[in-house]
Amino acid sequence: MNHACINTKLSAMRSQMLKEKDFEYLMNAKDLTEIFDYLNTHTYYETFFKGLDGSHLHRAELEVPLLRERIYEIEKIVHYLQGTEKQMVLQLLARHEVESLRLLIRGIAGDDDLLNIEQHLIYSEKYTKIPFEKLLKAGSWDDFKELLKGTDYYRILEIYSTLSLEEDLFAVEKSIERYYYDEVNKTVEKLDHKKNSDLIEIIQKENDILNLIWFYRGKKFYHLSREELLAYAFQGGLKIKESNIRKLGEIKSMEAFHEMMKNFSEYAFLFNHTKTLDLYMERRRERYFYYMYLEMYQKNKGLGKVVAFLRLTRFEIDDIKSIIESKRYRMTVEETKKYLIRSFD
Amino acid sequence: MAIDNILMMNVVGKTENVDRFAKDIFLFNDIQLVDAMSEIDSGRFILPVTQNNISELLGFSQLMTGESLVDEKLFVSKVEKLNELYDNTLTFEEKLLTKRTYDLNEILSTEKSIEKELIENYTEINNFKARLTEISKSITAYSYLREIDATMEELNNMQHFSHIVGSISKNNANRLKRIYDSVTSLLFHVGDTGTNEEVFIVISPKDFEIETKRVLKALNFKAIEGFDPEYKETPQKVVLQLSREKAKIEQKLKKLNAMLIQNRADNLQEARRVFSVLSVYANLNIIKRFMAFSDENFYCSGWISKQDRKKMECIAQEYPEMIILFNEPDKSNEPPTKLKNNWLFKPFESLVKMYGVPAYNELDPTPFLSITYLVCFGYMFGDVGQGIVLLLAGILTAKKGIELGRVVQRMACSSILFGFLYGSIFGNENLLPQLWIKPFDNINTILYTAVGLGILILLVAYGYSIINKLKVKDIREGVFGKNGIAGFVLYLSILLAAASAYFKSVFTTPMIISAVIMAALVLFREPIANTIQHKKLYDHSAGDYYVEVGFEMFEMLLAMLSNTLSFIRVGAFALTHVGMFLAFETLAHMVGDGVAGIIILIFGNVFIIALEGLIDFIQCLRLQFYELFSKYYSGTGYEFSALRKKKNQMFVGDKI
Repeated sequence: MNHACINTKLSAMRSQMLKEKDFEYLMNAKDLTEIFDYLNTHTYYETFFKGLDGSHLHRAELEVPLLRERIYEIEKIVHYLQGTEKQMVLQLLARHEVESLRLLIRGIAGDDDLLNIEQHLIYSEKYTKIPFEKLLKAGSWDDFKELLKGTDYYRILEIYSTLSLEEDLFAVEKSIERYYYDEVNKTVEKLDHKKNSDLIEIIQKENDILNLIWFYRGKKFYHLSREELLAYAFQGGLKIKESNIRKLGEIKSMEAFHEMMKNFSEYAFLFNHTKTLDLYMERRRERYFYYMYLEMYQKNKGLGKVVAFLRLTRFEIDDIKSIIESKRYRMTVEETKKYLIRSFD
Repeated sequence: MAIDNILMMNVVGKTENVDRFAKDIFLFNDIQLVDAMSEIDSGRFILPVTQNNISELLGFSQLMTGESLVDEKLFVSKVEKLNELYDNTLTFEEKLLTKRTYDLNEILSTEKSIEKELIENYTEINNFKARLTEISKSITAYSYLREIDATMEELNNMQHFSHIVGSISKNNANRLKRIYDSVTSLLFHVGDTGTNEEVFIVISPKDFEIETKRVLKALNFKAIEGFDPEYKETPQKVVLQLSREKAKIEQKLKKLNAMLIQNRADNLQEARRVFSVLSVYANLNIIKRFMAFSDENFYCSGWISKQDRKKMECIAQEYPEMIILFNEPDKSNEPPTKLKNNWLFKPFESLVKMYGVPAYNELDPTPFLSITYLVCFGYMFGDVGQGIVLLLAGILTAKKGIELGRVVQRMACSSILFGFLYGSIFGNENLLPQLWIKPFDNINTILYTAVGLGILILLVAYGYSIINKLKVKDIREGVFGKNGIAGFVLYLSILLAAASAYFKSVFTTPMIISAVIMAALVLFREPIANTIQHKKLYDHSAGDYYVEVGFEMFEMLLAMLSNTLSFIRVGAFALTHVGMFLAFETLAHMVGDGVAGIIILIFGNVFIIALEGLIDFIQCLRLQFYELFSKYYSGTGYEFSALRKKKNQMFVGDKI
């Protein structure tokens, strides 16, 4: 791959991303309309806001164009890549596809009108193998599954003869998530390990943290059996590999969990809070990776830089979403900052 | 004239004859049906008020659309069945429909007997095939358990344990290993499915069955199909037994297939005929949807060619009490345009349609476009050799069904012709004697001739424009407009004035006077035309009119100059054509005229054919669309579309 070429492209795109002063402005904006106007006039999201009327906006309507813009950027970058590296970036697109599919499945389980979900579906028309247009018109769960024949998702869903909200939805969603990360790991395995060591390390750390959070929540909130916890555990970790996963499965109490966390001091930051432990868990994780990817973007010259850039765009969108959310709850700027991935200190 | 005259045909017939009549229409094909209901609603479907027509007239008050009355299900199902029995190899063949009328009962009973002869055999084959798929599944399933000594009966009837065989993905198999030790069941790896999945047999105590199933589900465990309590022997024996059955069935299938093939062949002639007739009936709904119905009568409307009037009248005569009427199109009812050109001009219709289909009352520009297009292209791209290459390309693409291929063929012929005039073959100008001139040696002649040609073409275009405008009785534009008679005379006067000034002739002054008068006519065309037609002097305000027309005058004079000079390009490209080749020839000389030189010349020719050919094609199109069509052509019509676009086209089960 000609990384010099793609790096130039990335620098150009990176320079368009929102700066601190943009975030300051957005946090100080008085309502959604003002956020919309700012994004529409001062940022590169403008093209994807076409046809939207800023004065009658719903939160969701504002978020969707941001993600569409990201899809567009990933598609553009994929163009420059080949082989496993291309696959790696396509996995980032597949993430959106999986999220959209989950939305639809939730809709089916809840007996909702799928056409209402249409505007929230985010996927790459160019690369997706899922026939979203047809799925929207699926009349039943059986039709829905039938339409997915020929994709890997069919194998996951076919064993569910019915889809009830209480019994199956959780399992189906977890199965799809597990499949997605298995696929990512499969691609990571194929990468040139020498050249991409720091990218691989970050992804392994992500798997570690995914597992920690899964076991923590599975124990604390879902009260799952050891077997189920192990069945949905993620693979491809850095510190938390097979033996540690088994140990996590054996844990009987939350005290034992915190005790075990002492072995993973690097990840202790996730759990060493008392009051705000659960509230900010996601944010803590994201902030941890935000700074890691930021560093990787600056230092790396290869695929790592590309992935880092694309992850940064997602963090940016998530932060804009949080700010939009904060307007709904009329939070102060100081409060809002607590929910953002980037920190302003 | 290249636009066919069109008539609106209105038919009223007895409902009992509707199928027969619809069938006639279907086979007649060259008709563009319109919704009879809307024709009647708009008051264009007029019947003479006489004693004879009383029931037909009364029927107007109780009309229903044909949509609700169509029933072709029987025919569609028969057609589909027959085709299925023949493995979907039957096609609709119009040539088999030689008779004017068919005994539908005979057709249906023939169909029945064919079906009867084939169906038994066919069903048996299908049943055996289904059984074979089942057996294959079972063989795969029991093969996984090959190493188990116990009989299936023992396995199935265990008192405290249940078993299940299924597959999971490789990744989940790893996860399964984590819980081997604690899962409340026994797991044995027995193979893989060949599609990245591992197969396990899980034996669990019946008391823990639910829990086991939950864990297996979490790992996306999928049960293997093909097990059947009917098979009671050991798995190995079951596989053996099934394999034997499989072999036997395959033997039988061979025989049955041979029989079926023979049977099909025996009935083929009849089947093709019956299939074609029934296909027509299965398609009648398409026609009936356009009809309207009262209790006793059906009403049908459609556009047909004037020349087909006799044929339709002949058809109508066969039906008692059928009323058939033909109306000329009027203002409220714009007819479709049916282009009619000979084999030479026909392909150029596609170029005309790119701009727009001619309106019904407009002259078809296709012949004029074809001739001028061919002359211009040949003039620019005159080369015998390259023309032949283009011709071959045109023949090849036309064979592939690309309409443009036929245009290219004709362009290529023109190119060859001009190649002889220029004496040029593959760029070489020494091999052939020129019949006219060598472009590069006579640059001025080439350029002047091109402009002269352009002037001639423009004058004809004025003619087209005048006729088109007068046909719609547009006096203002047709007589006094810039593209009407006044514009035409003005253009001519300017040309003659220029010419006589050049030759210092005495006609200069009269021509200038004529030009000024004509310009004045164009300038004041609205008040003049309105006065003649006894209308208000100005359509809108006089101020607006003169501002607008003032700019228009300026634009008109400029356009006359630019349109004329625009044709210089035709000459210029003729020169470029030679010039480009000269460049390659010089290159070839530079490398020493050996193999490399020949390669360069070949490359040069390919390059010229591809690039120049394309440029010349586009330039010609530009001249047509921009310089000429903008003058005389509106292209606001819509095309006549016959019932079926292609020969033997059928729409069983489809809607139009």
